[in-house]
Amino acid sequence: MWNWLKHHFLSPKTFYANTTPLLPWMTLAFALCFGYGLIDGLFIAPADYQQGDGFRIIYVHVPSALTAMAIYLTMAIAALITLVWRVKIAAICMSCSARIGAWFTFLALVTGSIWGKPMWGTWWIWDARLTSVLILFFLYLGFIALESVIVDQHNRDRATAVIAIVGVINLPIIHYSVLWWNTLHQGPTISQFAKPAIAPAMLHPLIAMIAAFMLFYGLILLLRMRNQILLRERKSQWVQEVFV
Amino acid sequence: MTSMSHLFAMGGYGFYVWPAYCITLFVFGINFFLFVREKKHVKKILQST
Repeated sequence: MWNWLKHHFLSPKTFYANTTPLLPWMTLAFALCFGYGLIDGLFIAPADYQQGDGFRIIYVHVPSALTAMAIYLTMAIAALITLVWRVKIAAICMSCSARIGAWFTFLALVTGSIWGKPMWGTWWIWDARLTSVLILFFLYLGFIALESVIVDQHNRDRATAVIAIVGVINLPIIHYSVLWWNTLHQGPTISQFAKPAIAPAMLHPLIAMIAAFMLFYGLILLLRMRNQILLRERKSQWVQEVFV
Repeated sequence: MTSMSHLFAMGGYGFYVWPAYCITLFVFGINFFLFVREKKHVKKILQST
């Protein structure tokens, strides 16, 4: 079963062919979610009773932070598949995700800092949530740096996969940091089990923006993976055919 | 005109809200730009092989 999946669905050639029809639909879904989230979040959702219109930064800060964590989780799963089953596509996914994840973590840090200044009176504080997200950013940079110094493809995939798996320990620390330690950062806005601590009128654009950010990640990931597939498989017959 | 300035003021938080959204658009833009640049690079390599 796994071998069939590996050779028929996860082979670079099949992956390239299967993702082609997905791209326009993902672009459309992203445009709709982002357009709705942006308009509703900026102009329609009511102002917060404590933070006023300053709370609207939530619509870019929370989605970027969630996406940054989701990307690292994707990388860790891809790393495990790379190490155990040596699937080429998983190694490519891991590599492309790191570059996108670093940007989203940077965005979460910057928007969080911008939000922190009017609400907490400071751009930065060394509390558990902020520090653990900064560590996530350094993990991404470390992954990219390690990847750039190892020449051999096989060794590079294995070494970076180990980094990705070790770093995944940081994800629960980020998630539970606001519960485990005293911190200026607010608790979770959306919980898996509890009722959301946010009014529905404010929640809908937030969900749309989270979907938009995830779709953007998925879209850029597929586009970059397709580039890398062409590059790695450039000597194969099918690439010559696709390219011509 | 007043409603536009009211909109940009964001209840006194415009200095923080607008840059946050601009940086978001910048990050989206740079990710797309990096993909396009990589695609051109790959195309160049494929043409030379």
